[in-house]
Amino acid sequence: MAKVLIKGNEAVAEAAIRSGCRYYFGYPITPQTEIAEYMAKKMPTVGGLCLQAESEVAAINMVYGASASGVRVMTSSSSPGISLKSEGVSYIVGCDLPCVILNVQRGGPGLGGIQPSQSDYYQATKALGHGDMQLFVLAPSSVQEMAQLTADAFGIADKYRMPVLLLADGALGQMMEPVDFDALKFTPEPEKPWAVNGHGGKRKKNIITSLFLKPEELEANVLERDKKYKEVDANEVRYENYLCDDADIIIVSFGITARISKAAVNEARKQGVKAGLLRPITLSPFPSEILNKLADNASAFLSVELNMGQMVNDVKLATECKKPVYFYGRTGGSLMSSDDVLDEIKKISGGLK
Amino acid sequence: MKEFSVLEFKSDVIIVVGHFGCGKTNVSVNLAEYLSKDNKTYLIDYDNVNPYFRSADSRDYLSGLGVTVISSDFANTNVDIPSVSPLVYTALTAAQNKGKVIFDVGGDMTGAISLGYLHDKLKELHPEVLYVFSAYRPLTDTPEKAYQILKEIEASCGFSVTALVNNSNTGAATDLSDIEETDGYAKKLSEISAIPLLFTSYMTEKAPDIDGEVLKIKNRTKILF
Repeated sequence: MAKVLIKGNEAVAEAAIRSGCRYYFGYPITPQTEIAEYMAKKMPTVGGLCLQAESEVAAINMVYGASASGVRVMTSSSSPGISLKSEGVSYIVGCDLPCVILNVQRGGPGLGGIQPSQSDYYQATKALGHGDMQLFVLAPSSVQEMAQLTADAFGIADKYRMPVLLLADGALGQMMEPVDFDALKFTPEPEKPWAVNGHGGKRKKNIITSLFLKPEELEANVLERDKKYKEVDANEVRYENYLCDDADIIIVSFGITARISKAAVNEARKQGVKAGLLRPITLSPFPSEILNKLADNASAFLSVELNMGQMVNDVKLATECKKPVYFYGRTGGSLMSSDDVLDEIKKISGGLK
Repeated sequence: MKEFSVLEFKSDVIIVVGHFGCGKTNVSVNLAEYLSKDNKTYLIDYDNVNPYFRSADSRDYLSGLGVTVISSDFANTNVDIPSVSPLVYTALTAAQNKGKVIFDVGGDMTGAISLGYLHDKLKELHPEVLYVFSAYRPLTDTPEKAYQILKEIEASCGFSVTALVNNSNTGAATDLSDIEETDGYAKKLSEISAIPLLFTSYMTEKAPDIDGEVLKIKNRTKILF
């Protein structure tokens, strides 16, 4: 299976299995149901388990249990289903357990629609659950990257013992592109001495819990976890810098909109406007340092998103508003065209002159 | 190698089934284009499984060619529920008057199951049942796996596949050798299923150099961005 034509959703499922994930718990929802379909067909052939739970809440709590036992495990859903999982996600964070969660975003709020969106950016990067918590959030932009970042997600989750959220969208999940699975890089699963998988009387028992009886113990636990987040911030930021170094106008865009924005950047360059694209691959940790540096030479930033303006605020924070930060977006399941983005670039560039 | 002609179809009703993502919709749309040159043609979007890429996406284009596209009233809306349009019966009546009807069915046994609803009516029309496959889809990367899915589809819809269509491609990146390399796979699938290979599709400029019939098709898949 060197070269295949595959949907983003299927690519995640195949890459997860190749990463050693043998447990998938989920509940169907468009536009990510292909993952469960694929897992249901493939997991039994590799000695794994694909289980359709009675609800999203049940599925995430099965992930909680499986992860505590020390195995690689994942779940997936789309926006409304991800909201349902938030309680379980917080418990998993509170227990410092690794797992992979995929959100193939659709339009919201509420039941919303089934077409692509990026309107769960705030939820993913700020608060998918209560408490002092962060997730590691990866934003793929092609089907090949859906596969590679899934493989990376399992490695990161194990390394930091934290949930990794893959933030995709209905377009990336549904579209087909050729993927070379032989080119994927995998992180071997480490030993998990903390797992609750039976001590057999041979070691001290392990306890996994998010409940602390004394406030000072909870505080110490949260402070300890915060050190981990700082380490993640320092070491794990990823982004793609496309023609930003001499750019006047820098587009900041992730996932599917980065693909559209890149075409607009190319066209703008042809028309004599020095545009660039900074594509965050990690949304949390956010590539603040590079954006701040770029703000010294660029004239303006344009955040392009499929929502009403969410990441734009992180761009403002990152650049300390040294330069104007504009926003352009569509929502409700509509996609923008590269011409739409080009028009925005021209508007800004016209205003600069 | 010889170009396949849609005149070779013996039946007025063509049912297109296959594994999820093998290219059933693109093959169906292209067949509708070919058939519409000499016939009143109906393309029935009978996909109750995947709401994203479907024949109804080509409605405007095909209408211009005189093809009537029939789909669920909810196709391409946010109402994600399976439903069948009553207009399907209109098309079947037309088929009895020498119109041509193509059913673009949903993927796998899950998509094929809704054909059961029309089974008795369709049986009388002795439909051609085409099983489309792609060697580049991960769950049908061997002829044996493709055969397994073929058997599941037959069991689910109650029709036997009458012919195979090799639609192996890797999207826009497909080159001639990608297609030619799958010919052995196609012949093996034909051998183990004892079902003839009707044609091999190609979107490349030149036709693949293979022993058998080929059909030039265009990429009519909806462009997202």
